[in-house]
Amino acid sequence: MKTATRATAKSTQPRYLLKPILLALIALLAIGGVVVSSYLAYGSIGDRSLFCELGHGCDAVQASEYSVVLGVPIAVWGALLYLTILAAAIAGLSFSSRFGELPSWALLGMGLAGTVYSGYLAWVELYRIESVCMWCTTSAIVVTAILIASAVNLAFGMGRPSKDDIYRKSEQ
Amino acid sequence: MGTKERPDRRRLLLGAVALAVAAAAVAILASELFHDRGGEQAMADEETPVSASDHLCASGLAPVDGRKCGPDSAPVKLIEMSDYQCPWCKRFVDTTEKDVEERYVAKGLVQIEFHNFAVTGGDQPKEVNEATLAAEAADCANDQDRFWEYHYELYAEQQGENEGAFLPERLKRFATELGLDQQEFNTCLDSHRHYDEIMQERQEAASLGARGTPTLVINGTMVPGYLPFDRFQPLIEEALAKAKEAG
Repeated sequence: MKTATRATAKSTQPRYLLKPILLALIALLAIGGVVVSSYLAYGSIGDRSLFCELGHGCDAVQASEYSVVLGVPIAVWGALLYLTILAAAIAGLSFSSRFGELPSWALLGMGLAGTVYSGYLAWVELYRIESVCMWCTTSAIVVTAILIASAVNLAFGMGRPSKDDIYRKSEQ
Repeated sequence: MGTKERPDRRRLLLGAVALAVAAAAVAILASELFHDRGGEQAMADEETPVSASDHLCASGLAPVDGRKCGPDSAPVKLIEMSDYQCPWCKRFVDTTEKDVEERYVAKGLVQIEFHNFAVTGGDQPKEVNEATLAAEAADCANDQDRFWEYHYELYAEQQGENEGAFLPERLKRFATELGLDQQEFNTCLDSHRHYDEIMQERQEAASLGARGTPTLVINGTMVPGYLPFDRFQPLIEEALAKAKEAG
């Protein structure tokens, strides 16, 4: 009997460990997103010169009118999204007993909204500006990875440690 | 238990997806309507794109002499080193320069002088280098005393870098549309009459320390890169104050 319980505990272990691993991965991706967005925002509002550099070409996407929405550089909006994602991932990791599945659902929503909007921006780059910005593409990849990780987390990572798992832990 | 949880999670999933799609739709709508400066200003800009006649220097209301716009007596001399394919230059011309024309050139306080700094074509041969071809075409228009109109026409027709917007056929068409002497213009462009001068200007700009386009020089002080008018105006005011002090 005890052997059978141990076997069950072993099989459920990866499932309940998946959630913190995925949330940590999402937090890391969000930090990456904040770095990328901050770099782009620095180009929009900082003192970095906005010009076509001799031998390095122009940043046509950053130069376009689409780089600013409602008077705020789009990169700043992006940084705010990534900071919110980071906060939700940390909340999910640290206060799961208080918030339950809410951070995971919020992450899915933000990941999906970010991915859809990034798709729109990619379309603007390709068909309106006719130029692709490497850092914008990196951001699109990051937010899509966040969406995938959030979906996997909700689909497979929401298992809670069973009594057997807790027993197994205390036994260790 | 499992049967109760499933519909709840399905509802949550639908809710999260609906909210996410709605949020993305709002963001896309905001980007379509309020890009650049936001609100009514952006929509007004959409309806009235900047054309050559919107610029004082091409309207006949400001004194022009070749690539200079504004009186020689102006206390502030603004040199603009620029490339016709450069999107930041277009942005500068369409926004900041337009405001400078209306607020300072019109009052005789600033004279703008255009210098070619054709960098975006790299080292491509002159027959296909769209940056130098556009600069050559503007100089051919200058030979007919129509520099500023052609200059703004080029920015209005800008379409990315080296993508065919400024190949000879199109450049000749712009000349026709502006009513230039077509034969003279074509001969000038086909013979690359101004190519060497443009290459020399490029070398001069680089030797002065310009690293890219646009580079602005306000009474000898170099200002690299695009600046919106609200950040550019204080530099003009500072130069005006210094010129006033110097008498």
